[in-house]
Amino acid sequence: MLFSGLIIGIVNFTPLERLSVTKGAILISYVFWLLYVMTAHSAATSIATFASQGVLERELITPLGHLRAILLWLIARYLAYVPQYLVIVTILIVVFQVPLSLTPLDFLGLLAVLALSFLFFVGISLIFGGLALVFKQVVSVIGLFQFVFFTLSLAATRLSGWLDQLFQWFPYTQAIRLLLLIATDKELPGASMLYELSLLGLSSLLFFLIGILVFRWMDRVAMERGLLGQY
Amino acid sequence: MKDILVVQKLKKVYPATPPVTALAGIDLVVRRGEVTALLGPNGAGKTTLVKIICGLVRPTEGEVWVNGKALSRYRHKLLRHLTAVLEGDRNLRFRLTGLENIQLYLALGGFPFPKSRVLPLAERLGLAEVLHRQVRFYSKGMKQKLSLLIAFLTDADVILLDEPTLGLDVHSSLELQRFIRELAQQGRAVLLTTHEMHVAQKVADRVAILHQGRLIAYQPLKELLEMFRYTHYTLRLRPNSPSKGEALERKLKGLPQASLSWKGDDLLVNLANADSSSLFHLLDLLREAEVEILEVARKQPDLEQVYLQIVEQRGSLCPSGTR
Repeated sequence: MLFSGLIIGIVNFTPLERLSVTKGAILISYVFWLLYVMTAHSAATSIATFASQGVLERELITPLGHLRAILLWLIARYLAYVPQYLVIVTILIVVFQVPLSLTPLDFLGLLAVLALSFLFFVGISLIFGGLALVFKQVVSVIGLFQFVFFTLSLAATRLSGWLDQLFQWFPYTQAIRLLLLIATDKELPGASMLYELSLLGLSSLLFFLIGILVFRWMDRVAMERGLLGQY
Repeated sequence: MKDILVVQKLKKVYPATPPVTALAGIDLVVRRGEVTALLGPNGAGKTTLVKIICGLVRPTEGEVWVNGKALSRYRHKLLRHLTAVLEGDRNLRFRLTGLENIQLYLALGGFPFPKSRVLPLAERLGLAEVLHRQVRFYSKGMKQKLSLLIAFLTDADVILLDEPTLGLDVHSSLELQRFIRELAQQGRAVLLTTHEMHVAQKVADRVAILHQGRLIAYQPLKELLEMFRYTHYTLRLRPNSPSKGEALERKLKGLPQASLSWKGDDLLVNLANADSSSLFHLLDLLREAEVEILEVARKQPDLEQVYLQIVEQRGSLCPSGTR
């Protein structure tokens, strides 16, 4: 519905000569946001809900340890969403006749961006999940973040000045820019692409590590206060 | 090693204003082949103790030893030896079937899936026909039974059961009690918390009573009952006439151990802490008074009465040698 609204708006208000490019850019931004919603947002919301209900406790009593148990759960959840996600994206491309012509190299680039973005998504899930262990009502704050990310998705190509500087190291906007370059503009030479991917990898890794640190810290606080399995 | 689970000087103070002391230095030993019942009023610290052993709560002081290894150092490894059924029906994934829940939690715990044992055990607990149904359609009792089934299917050395009979019907509760005894016979150690004294009396080898975070009793069940061993005799008498009844009442009031009450035309005599000679003396008095004896009953205190007495007295019976 959201995507339909965007497309209808663009079709009616965008000059004809730019229409196909804009449609492609919107699709890229939207499907990436959808990926965030279906993985990081959904997982973080689930952890927060389970934590508030006390469902997590049984899963945490394992030889895996709390962090590994949650990581395993996150990966399983992400994998479960892959077919559903692919179906939605295919339907969107077909229904709205979005022109996307990808070479095998482009396809590899897309996969690399998505793989590196997943590190960021796991990091975000762990940050929210960790906070949920201690602050049981964090689920409403997580809800707000999906709108923040939606705004970032559409603004990713138009940031300027200090905002551009600020988000240069933010994996989410980096990933959208790279996806747009690969799928539409195709202007980046191989070396630049590798540099951009490295930057994305580093910033995603940073968020992943922050996620682990936050989760471990919050897990420790929750164990001190006896908040795990509290209902 | 017979002492498979050793709780040593365990203390838990929850950070709050003012701080809440849930456990004030607990020493407890759970042995292989034994069922230890952890009793105590609400807020005594039972669930905190179980959660510390499970690794869900970090103790302020003290240590838990499993198979001779410290839980604080080897928590992940040692959880392979433990399984727990915690209070409530939140131990399951509601969108999965019963069988899928069994597979999931056995895999997470690192336990093998004992295919041949699933159906016979499920049948005993009355779950065989619903194993392929999603858990969200289960009743509260069925969810509780599934949680227990998962615990029993593991090969864990220590089984922690927090209020296992809560929400179970009479038949299932009895079956569960038989199950718990079988686990002990297999050489496993069971620690269960319960408010149902008759359950504890039936299944427990040892009883630990927690009160305000302190262990106020920790004895083998038989020894504990023996310590409070006294005999009550209750007699129901029917005097021939009201005047004879009043005369008899005056006469019996002189007996030091007797308490009297009327129930309709019948006089009830309760002889507390009485031995046989006290009873014979009473019977002699009744023969002289020519009173009809309708009923004589002999009673000994059960765990519930012993528990109430201990908690009310809050006297420590814990032997000093206990680790």
